[in-house]
Amino acid sequence: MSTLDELIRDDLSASADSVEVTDDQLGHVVHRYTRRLRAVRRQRRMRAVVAAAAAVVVLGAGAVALQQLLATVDSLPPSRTVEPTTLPVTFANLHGVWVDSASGWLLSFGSDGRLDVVNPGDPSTFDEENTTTITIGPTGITLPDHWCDLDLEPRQGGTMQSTLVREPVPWGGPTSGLCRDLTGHHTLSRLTPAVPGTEADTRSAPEPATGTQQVTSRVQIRGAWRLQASGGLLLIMWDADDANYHYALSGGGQDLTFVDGGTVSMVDDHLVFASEGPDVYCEVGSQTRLAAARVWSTEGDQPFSQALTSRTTRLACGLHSALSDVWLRVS
Amino acid sequence: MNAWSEEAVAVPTGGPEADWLPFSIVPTVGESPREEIISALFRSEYAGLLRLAYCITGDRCSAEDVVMEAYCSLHVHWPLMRRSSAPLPYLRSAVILGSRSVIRQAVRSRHWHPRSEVARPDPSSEDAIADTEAGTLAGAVRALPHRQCEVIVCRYYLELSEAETAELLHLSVGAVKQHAHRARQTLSRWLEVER
Repeated sequence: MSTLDELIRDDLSASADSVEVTDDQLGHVVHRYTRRLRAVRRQRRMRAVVAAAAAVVVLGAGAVALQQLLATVDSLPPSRTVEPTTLPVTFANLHGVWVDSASGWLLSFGSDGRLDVVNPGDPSTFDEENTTTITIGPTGITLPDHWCDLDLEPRQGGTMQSTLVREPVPWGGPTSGLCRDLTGHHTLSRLTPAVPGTEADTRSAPEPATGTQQVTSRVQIRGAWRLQASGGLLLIMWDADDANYHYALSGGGQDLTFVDGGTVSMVDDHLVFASEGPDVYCEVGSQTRLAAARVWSTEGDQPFSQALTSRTTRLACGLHSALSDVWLRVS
Repeated sequence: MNAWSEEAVAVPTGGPEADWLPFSIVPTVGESPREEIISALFRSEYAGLLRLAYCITGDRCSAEDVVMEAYCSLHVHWPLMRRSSAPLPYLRSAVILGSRSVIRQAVRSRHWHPRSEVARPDPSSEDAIADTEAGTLAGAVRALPHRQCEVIVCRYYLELSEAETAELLHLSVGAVKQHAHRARQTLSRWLEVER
């Protein structure tokens, strides 16, 4: 046995041995246990009595209430809001892409437990270090050790509460590998539709748009966008080095890896996307033109505040067909 | 050192429970088998379970609550217990799960004030371990990722084998080895700094 093993064993034993249990304390504990069981039994009996009484009342009043309900339900306005009922943590309920409304980070949950966490404004986060696999057990989700603890609470209506309980100590220091306590609450909003047929699938009607604006300047489209149908991620960034706007486009679906990029320019009220750089999907120099680009502002409970629509007048390659899709602003 | 006392607490009565109990039982008039077995488990295992919870949480009051919940859970799930598994592994498993929940709840509510002589790391500290108790590894073990912490406690405090640890924590033996290896690396690095 190594010195380290002996130290761990001795320290844990010493720590544990400091906890003493006297006969009096044990007697008190058993007494607490007995009282607790009696209380549970009392509660059960009380619930049974209340349930029986309620059943009688409900049966009597049910017929009257049903008649009243049927008489008034037709006059009620249709409700678009969905009660934020908590859903069980299952792969099906988590499946899809979510955005943290405060930071703009994206979380993409696969049906097999794969989790990608990326910052749309920082392409360096699009690597394997930000991909992991979660497991779901009786106590919630479990992340690999080096990710420490995270709680998730999906709700109906396309939102989810995430709570970071402990975060890893950054690498490089003497305590790297340990977790430090941290409590951070974040509200996530669903960007992609829930899996049809699951509890998360509420299929609520979209909020109506409250205003539109013609795109006349690239600054209007600067930021991160989710392409609604393909699920692709589109980043439009200002590069101070060459004083130009650039774009990066992911392949779509759950895969958030950028596969194409280049410059964005504005020519005769057309948005022009030109592929540039090494390892781009479309042919270098090929251009896709979008006309009639309009930004739609929305209000209400939608997870996005803006959407963009346009019409393709020239297509550079198949991947760019996603650009004529509806864009949902992520950040 | 084995933390689990296996002293005889009573006399065997036979019956379906007897084969998985590490001790024998004195029947008490008027008590059902469930009550008398749980009562015996209190006498024989309570202190060990309390120390197990304390190894993970570092807080006696929380450890007492966790162990109490484990016994109550055993009472509720007794019908399943008799068919499937022994109560002691069930209690240990419930204590480990409960300890994990206590830590997470305490951190979440920011009311983590251990009352023992071993302090938790300062949540606001950049360095998770630098401010813990001087000279002991117990605090560093508690600051490990929870799976690593549980594996270390099972292997070094309970002195379980890798296979027994795997069974208790519902992990594969390979995962137990991996968690133990990573934990030892981290603790070794911490020890170097302390020296």
